[in-house]
Amino acid sequence: MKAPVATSIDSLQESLAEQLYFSDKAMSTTIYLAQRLKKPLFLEGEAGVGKTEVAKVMAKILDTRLIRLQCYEGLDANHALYEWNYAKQMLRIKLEEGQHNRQEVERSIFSEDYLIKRPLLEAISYGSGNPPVLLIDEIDRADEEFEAFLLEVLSDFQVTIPEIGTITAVEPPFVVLTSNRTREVHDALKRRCLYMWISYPAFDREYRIVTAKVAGINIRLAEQICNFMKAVRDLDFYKKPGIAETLDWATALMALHCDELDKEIVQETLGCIFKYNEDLLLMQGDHLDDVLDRIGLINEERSAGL
Amino acid sequence: MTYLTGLDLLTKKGLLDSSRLERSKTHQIIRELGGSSQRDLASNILAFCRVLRTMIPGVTTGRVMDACQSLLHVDISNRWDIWAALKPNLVSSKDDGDVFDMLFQMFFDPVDSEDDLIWLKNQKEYEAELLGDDFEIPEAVRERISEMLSQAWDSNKTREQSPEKESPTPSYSPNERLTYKDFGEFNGLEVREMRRVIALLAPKLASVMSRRMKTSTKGKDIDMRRTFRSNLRYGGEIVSIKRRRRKTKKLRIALLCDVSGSMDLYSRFLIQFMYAMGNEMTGVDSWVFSTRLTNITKTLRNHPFEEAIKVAAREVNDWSGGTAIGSCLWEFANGAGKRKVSSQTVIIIVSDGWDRGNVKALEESMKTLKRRSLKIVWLNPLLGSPSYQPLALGIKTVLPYIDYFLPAHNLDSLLRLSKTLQEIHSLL
Repeated sequence: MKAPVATSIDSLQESLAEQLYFSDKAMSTTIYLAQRLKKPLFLEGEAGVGKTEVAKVMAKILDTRLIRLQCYEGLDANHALYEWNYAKQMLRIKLEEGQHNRQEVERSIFSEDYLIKRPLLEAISYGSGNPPVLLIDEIDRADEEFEAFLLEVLSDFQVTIPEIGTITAVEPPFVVLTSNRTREVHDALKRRCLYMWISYPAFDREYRIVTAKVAGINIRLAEQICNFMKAVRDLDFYKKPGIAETLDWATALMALHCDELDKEIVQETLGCIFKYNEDLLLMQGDHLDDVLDRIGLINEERSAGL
Repeated sequence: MTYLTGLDLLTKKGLLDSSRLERSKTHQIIRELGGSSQRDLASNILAFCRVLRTMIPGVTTGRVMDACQSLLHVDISNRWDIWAALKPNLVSSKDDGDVFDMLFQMFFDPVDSEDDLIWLKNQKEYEAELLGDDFEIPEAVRERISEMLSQAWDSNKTREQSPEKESPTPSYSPNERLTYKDFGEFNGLEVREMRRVIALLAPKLASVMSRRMKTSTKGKDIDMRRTFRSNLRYGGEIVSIKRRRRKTKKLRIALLCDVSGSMDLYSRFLIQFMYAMGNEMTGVDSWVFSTRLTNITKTLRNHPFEEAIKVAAREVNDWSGGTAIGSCLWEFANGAGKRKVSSQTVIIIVSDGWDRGNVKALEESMKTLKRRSLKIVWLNPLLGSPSYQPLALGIKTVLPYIDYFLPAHNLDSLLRLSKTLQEIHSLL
């Protein structure tokens, strides 16, 4: 049985670990506080460090639905909040033709039955049950106007639909906002939230993640992979690989029945780690030997090659 | 709860030695801003927040209250828990987080009790976990903190002494003579007049840039909501279709101004222009460079002009120094520019192109920026001279990557810049 609300920071951390999310104490504290203070959580960090994952895992822990709003340029209230179901409304009008007076039909077609709920409204009017987890993903991609609109929704957790009235959440949902910092999100929105920066994982944390998530991986390979990633992130790339890339790579290596890293297999699978051609070229140059050297693999390779 | 007494703890330890600020002065500042020592936890937290407020933005009363609320949910006998509970409430960026950590350490400096050792250990473990073994608070952050502490101190004093003077509301009356006069030939009085005019020019420009396109009957998308509403009277038959047009996107501007010695005559006006733009429009970020690149967006936004210049000059320690456009643009293209430059961004670089730096880096960076931005505008004050030929190596290198190569030596040229920006905006 899952406890809907974590009662202490430690128990939350345990629940997170049960769901294979390995947080450190500071992260757990922040998530715990977000839950207790009923404040949105604002997560920033490079791509692929597990920001979105927090929301997914919290939905499982809180035993509730995950409602996701993916932000993009041009996202507006119609797509985020609600839209009327025009086809259904039209049909109703046709059916009622000549039977009722117009006002009555008009009143009935602008009721909740004819409303298409978009993520924000859905998260506020969830009906009975546990409040959902609302994930507002990549807020930095949305326009600034949308931020302002969001600020309004997140401060009161209520929405006004002119034809119906104001809908207020019985209990505010657990809100997680993520940003990749492609642009700065306005301070006003951040101030409304608990802020947390998620950095690339240290070796230990990444090792735990890899061994937990990649079934059957041997310890030696997992260690090598994590060391390799750490060394890669110390170098300067346009897009440094995140945990997602680590897991992709580990899975790929497993599929290739690889028990140990060597230069050849690394070269063949670099595509799992780097998503930009510039980075790939950079890595295939001097960097590869440098990294392999740093994690103590180049010497074995040389002696094997000679 | 007399466990945390910031000032007491602060005096006990030698951690401040690493800071440029003298211990006694920090002492004084914290006393000034935070009140006396020997208090309970709550007052200490408030004192801490007061000091923090002078260093990072967004430490609002509401957030401080939430921070105090948070303490109810953690073990406040453990300093580490207090740190973890306060931080997410009070910071709103990674950089602010670094400042927070440093100040927290200075303020609630650990003494030699057992609890403190545990805290220190936790802290160290956390840091190690977070950043690897070689963690150390960067020198730049340390410097920033001591700098800000002394600034907070200074401004606190000046505020007491002289209340700010109200400046008279200016009006827009560009003098014909001044419009075409080279910035380099201005006398003291004209400089002031010019500044006033530039300050008025920027908002005009800003309002043009942020104007949205009107709703059109020829839009691409059907506005279902309005269509449906207006056709209700026909009993559900769609007689007329309402359309809408996507709002035009907002233009973003990245301003980079050369403040090296050779630009001195012009940069004072261009900084004024940057200042006015940054305060009138959203989406403007400003940097200055000579041998190093410095972001002055926040400085320009948070101070009155004269003060902003002083603060900026202090931050930029090589003002009027040499030029290294290459390495500065490289830093921009591979650092801040990654986040700040998108396909909606116009990059405006103001420089005379006299470079004694790295030409290869310059070319590479221009290539990168060209790819990532909407347009690149290069303003060159020397272009105002009829005999000017773009012969300097720096300029020759960048010319192929520039969309607009414009003069910036007088008011008229700034007006032309605003026309160019409008032109670019209409492309969006």
